[in-house]
Amino acid sequence: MDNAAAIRETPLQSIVRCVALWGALVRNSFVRQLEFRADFAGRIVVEFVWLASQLLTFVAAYRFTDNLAGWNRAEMGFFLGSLITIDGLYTIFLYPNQNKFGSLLRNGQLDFYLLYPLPTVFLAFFRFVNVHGVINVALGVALLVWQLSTATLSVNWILWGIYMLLGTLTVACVGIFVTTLGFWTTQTTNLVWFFFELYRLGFRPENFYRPWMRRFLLSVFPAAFFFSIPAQISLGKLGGAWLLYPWLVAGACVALVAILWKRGIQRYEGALS
Amino acid sequence: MSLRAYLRAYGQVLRNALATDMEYRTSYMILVFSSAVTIIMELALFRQVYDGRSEVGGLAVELVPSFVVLGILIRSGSALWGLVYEAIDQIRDGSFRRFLLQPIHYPSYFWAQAIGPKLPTWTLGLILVLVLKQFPDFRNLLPLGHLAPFLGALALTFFLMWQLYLMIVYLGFWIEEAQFLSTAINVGVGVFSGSLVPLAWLPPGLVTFLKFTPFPLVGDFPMRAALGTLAAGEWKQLAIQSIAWIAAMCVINGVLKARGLKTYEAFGG
Repeated sequence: MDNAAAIRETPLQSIVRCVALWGALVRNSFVRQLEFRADFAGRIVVEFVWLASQLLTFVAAYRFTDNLAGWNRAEMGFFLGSLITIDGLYTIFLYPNQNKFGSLLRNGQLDFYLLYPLPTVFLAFFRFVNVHGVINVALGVALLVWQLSTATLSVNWILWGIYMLLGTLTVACVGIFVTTLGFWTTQTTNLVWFFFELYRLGFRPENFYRPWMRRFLLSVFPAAFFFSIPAQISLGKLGGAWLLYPWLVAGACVALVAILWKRGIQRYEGALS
Repeated sequence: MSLRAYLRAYGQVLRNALATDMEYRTSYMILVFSSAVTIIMELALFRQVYDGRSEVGGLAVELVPSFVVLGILIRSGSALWGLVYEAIDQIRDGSFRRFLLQPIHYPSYFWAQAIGPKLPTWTLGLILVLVLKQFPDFRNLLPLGHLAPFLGALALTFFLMWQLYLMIVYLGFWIEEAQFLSTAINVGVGVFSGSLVPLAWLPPGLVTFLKFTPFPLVGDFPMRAALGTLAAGEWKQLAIQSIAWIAAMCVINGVLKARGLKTYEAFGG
């Protein structure tokens, strides 16, 4: 909340207005990107190849064992479906904006964002959507449905919905946190790469890794909370205090982003002034 | 054009491409970081698959760290991202016409543009091997005796992959958005070539199909040459197959270029 109009609103009013505006921005982005239909068709092929390579890696691994670090074949399929769905959401909403943030800082566009009667962080990180991510979400959901129809898995769908949303929130906050460091570095391309490489570590369940890496993924860079912990909670593999940790991690990430963003805005001098 | 003039001209293109690429030095740091993340992720998966066993699907456990590192070297050493995009963009926006007007041999130009920026990547790969060999887990990484067969197989891999990329560029004469083919190859080559997981681990039906494609020759072949797991006479047999594929692609690329340029002229202007 860093402009006068937004401060006068209650948080709920502000969220409602953001959602309404965001709907218009999403429609605009979709229409613009769907003009390039051949490109869209090509991306579908690429996403299928990516999905096939992810699945084949695990199909190959499970040819020689029934269990990888306590995950059987069906559970791993469920994990991958959840991963691809959340990764699709990340690709749709955050990724294109992360890439554009550096140019916002350098060409002074952020000056205008500060003047708009909307939270600047919302405009900076959710202004554009990437329609191609819809393919990933569709493939992820299809994989989940296929997995559940062919294997006997006991999934708590309410917990899945809640903890996947928390996972998505954590991904978004960590992504925004790393990109916001651009206020200090000006260039953000490498920051986004850096984030993405660490983000990839979440593509394996955290109990695959050695203890030192597991601790790192559960604390310093909470990639375990992106996909693995939510999937394990929904499958009933984790309970007790683990039900609380994703809330704490997501809350801590939101707080850290708010602090860093505020400091970044204070530091920002504006490229046009 | 004499051989000397040819080498001077395209050597200059190569140096220019290298100089341009070296402006973005940070990208090499990212490459090292990305490789480290991939090594950690892949070793984590392999550790769970082996789970105390000494051999799985023909790959001995002591060769796994070398397999993971070699896979990264083979993939990052041969993959072209920006160049194919740039070349297809040139076809689309019309700036490709300069290759029609100037006395430039386009395949040579493409190769010089590909090799220049890859020189630092290859150097970085060599340094990575030398550093990793100091660690006990990587003591089997590229022993001297495997170096010659590996480099020979790797050279054939580069020839084959880049002929494939050149084919995609020429397809740009017909398909404006042909870049997606290059991305699809880069995304899928790891698993389909046997450089991400051993080819023998994939389902048998898929392996049989893949053997009719050039993919195993750009992953499994150099990998096994480096690990020393090729049977007697197999190196020669796979090298001949690679050369046959390269020759076939050269012919196809020649036809595609000739026909593509005719189509391109139709846009005129």
